Amino acid sequence: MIRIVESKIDREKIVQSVSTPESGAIATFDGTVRNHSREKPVTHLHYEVFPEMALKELEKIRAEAMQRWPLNGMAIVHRVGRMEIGESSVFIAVSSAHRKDAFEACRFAIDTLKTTVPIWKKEHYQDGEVWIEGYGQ
Amino acid sequence: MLKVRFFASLKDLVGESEMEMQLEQETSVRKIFQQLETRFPEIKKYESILLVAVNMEYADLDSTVTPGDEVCFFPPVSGGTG
Repeated sequence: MIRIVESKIDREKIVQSVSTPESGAIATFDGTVRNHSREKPVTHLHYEVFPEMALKELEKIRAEAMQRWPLNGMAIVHRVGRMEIGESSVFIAVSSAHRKDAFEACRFAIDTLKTTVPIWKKEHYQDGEVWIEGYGQ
Repeated sequence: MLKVRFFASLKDLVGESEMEMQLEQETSVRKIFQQLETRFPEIKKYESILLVAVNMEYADLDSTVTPGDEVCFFPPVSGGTG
């Protein structure tokens, strides 16, 4: 499952999508909206996406991970639009026979996503807003 | 013709998300960027950090563009959280 969604992320459904009888581990990463950034209170976030290219880049991440580690499944869902504090903006689930591969591939997926997938975050504060660009690099 | 698209702060700077530019023959992304610079001088500050995609594949300023291509300019990405 590789998706860009505008509504709330359904974690359970994503985990189920990678669950297989051969898997002894499912590692997940849940990226959530933080209430502060560089010591400034954040009221909410807004994510903009280049949808066609973002999906292609997410597929590339999955393809590379499936090749590098013996995985049974990988799902990546990124939400875009407005998000409130505590909500998930990105959720990744990876299944494998043993935990080491699932952990490593999950880490690879989020770290790569932050440098290659064309999605941008705008932080909103009480007194304004700022594009956060290249923050993940 | 060439379709040019902008995202995030670059879109704000240019004031629109896409535009068409005249293109009769093969050129480089750099030449396109220089043309944009004459219309939007502030875009210059992005030159060293900017990401470029030609037909939805990452490219760079030295990449070639031909009529009918789609060129996208955007700042470094910042998806995810945590």
